[in-house]
Amino acid sequence: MSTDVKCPFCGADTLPGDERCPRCFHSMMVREIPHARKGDAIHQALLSRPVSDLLTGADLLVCDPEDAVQKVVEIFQKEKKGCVLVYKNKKLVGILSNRDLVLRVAGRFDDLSKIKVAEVMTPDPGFVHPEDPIAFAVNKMAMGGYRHVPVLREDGTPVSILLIMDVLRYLSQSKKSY
Amino acid sequence: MPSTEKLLKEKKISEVVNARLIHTPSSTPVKNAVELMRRESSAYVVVADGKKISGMFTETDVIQKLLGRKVDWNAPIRDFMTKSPTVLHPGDSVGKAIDLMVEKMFYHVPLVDERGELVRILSVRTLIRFLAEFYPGEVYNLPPDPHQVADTAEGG
Repeated sequence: MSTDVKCPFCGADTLPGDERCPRCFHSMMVREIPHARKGDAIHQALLSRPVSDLLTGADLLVCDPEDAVQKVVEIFQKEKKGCVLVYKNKKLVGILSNRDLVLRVAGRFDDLSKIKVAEVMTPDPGFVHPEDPIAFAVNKMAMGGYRHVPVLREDGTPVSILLIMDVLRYLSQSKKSY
Repeated sequence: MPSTEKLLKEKKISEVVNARLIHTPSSTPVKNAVELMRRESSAYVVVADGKKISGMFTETDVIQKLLGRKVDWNAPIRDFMTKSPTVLHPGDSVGKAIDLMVEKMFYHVPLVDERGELVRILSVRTLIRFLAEFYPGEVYNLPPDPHQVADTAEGG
């Protein structure tokens, strides 16, 4: 079992005892996950259960920065999806969601086949790992106002896209079963 | 600190919702509605004439019905909105809102008063922020003693 600690913000490797992440300077002094109080099963679940509990893998779309926005829009329309990860050389370089398309594309371009994903995507998005606590993902969504968070393996390959709705569904189901 | 289950059941929507409300009349040209969303960085527009709700128009509608399609961007938003959306009341519980949003896949639910008039909107983002604040800083800013937390969600 590894004792390595990953920075929750940028995913960089840090050494046990590091005061801050050497890459992004996020504080690493408060990384322990506290024990939830007895009797609050949902609370405990959010802090102790991993993100992988929520994943279906069904929402994972990946495109290239050079792909045309039109192609992405066609796939969103056909598959009823709203988010795609942008990979270049097996590395995550951006994310393109319904939100980006509304803010930067809709009503502004006549010919979507002439716009590249790279021009309108959100570059370098935050992400989580499958083994991170669900609370990490919730925090990322709350702080950034995101409705989608990429879930990546340690080597950067994509596992899934976590939707805000996945978190709510988990909460809704937990609420009923406890 | 109350349990999450109890909190979701007892916390009213009115206690978590914010004052922001983006709305437009049903006759608004859809291109103006999209411009409004862009200007306000909003993922939705409530379509309402006066305080009477006639529909919801969201990011998903923009992508699914407008982008890259041969449509008249000067047509009124009522031609593209989802009509007669499900609503909730500010006095309903947060738990009820979560159940509804999950079941119907709604990212936004308009709130109406006892006269059925539009008063607020509840967004999924607001709920996630509420959830994150419910265990404030426990992930990133632990107090010296993890069990030394406020007795109420407001911090007492």
